[in-house]
Amino acid sequence: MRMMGNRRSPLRYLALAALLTGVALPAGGEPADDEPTGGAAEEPPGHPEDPFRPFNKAMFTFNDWLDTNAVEPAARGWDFVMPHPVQRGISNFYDNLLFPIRFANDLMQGEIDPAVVILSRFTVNTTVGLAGFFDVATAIDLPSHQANFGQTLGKWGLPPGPYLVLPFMGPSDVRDTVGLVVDGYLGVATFFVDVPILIGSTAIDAVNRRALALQQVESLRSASLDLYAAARDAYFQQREELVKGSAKAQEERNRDLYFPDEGGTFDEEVGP
Amino acid sequence: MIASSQRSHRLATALVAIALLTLQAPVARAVSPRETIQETMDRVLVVLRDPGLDSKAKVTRIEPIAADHFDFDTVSRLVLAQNWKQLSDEQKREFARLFQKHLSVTYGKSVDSYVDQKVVITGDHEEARGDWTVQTKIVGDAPDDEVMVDYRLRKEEKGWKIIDVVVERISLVSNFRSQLRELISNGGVDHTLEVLREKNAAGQSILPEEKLRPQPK
Repeated sequence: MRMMGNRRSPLRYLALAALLTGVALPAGGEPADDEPTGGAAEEPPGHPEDPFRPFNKAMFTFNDWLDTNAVEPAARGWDFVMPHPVQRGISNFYDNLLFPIRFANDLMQGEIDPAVVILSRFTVNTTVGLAGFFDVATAIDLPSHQANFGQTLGKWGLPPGPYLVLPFMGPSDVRDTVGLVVDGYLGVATFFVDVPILIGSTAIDAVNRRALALQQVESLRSASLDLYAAARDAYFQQREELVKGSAKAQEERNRDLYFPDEGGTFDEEVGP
Repeated sequence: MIASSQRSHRLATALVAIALLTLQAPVARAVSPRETIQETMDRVLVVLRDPGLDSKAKVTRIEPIAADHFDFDTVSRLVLAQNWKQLSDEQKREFARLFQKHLSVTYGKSVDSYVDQKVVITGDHEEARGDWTVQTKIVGDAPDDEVMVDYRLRKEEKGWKIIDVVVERISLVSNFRSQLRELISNGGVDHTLEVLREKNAAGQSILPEEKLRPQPK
């Protein structure tokens, strides 16, 4: 019975971590477990940005399989049954529950004003917004923002470590994976919910978010020439932005991206 | 006499006006990056909002607008990056053509999802070495229904041209560069061109290929 009483079981980690997918994948709003795979190809030599590539590719393929065979069909059914405003409401409800994570991380990063915004959002949306189903706060100019422990570690100066594709969760890195576990303890679910309810709740959250992203994911699939590389680069770009801020990220983008003939840093990368 | 003096007065005014116009002409032609984006968006939105056009007709009208305002040759060079030199001239042309078509095919599909969103320019600033970024957001009905889209422009002979689109902080050039590096290192240039061809065929482009490049260089 000690096991039952222990709210921090491994299963709980996994469920919590899945609940926090929205934190792991900043902005955009794409669920992490719907990252599909790119075309199968042989492993080319030398991937400095992706040393765990064989593992990552396998996980990516698994996530893609899971999405195609379970999550997306479920989301299509959900989308058929649930009116769009209800989906939005449910999405708002789960987003509102991320309050303790965002608030604590804003504070740990010394971001006082954003922390106050997050606190005000939670207060307004939980009350006037009827338990978070309506995002009243955004309408009165209290916009949301991402804050998670992976980002906090980054701002404290910790390097991200190698790229890591997690089962169910999608693109991450070592730093953000540690962040997910820590954020798991900060989540409201840790204090209030039983494991079976949590699993059901997590499934609803995931399927609902996948339903909201049906069109986005479809166009992402058709727009990519290599989905694995596309997802990895998107993850890297958003992580840079989240940790360094848009100005610094833009500055580095300038150097690396736009002047390939004039000694941009990518010349030093390991090319084919 | 009065009539004639009036006429000469009018003539003088007209001459002054013409002189002013001529003087102003070079200034007026130097359209700013912000104006370039505004003009592009206005042109595109007119098409998107036209209830008399089906999606095919809309794409047919938007493609030339995109061709006017994008520099697809520079975009091609940027996305291929260090692999650019590896391509023969013919492959370079082929790539630029296929890549432009790929963008047209994939983004052409989204014309159907347009439901009266507005585009608001939220700012613009100079970048390294004279490039310019214009920030916009696409605003829908709900206040949280916003998409940030930044355009990066480079000044060229024919004015400011778009060389990258950054959607919700994700640069299109960076993302495709990463994909193309993967494709080329896995299967080489010919394989990459083949993948593009297949993707384009699967996406059923709406325009014949020759119409996609109105200004061959």
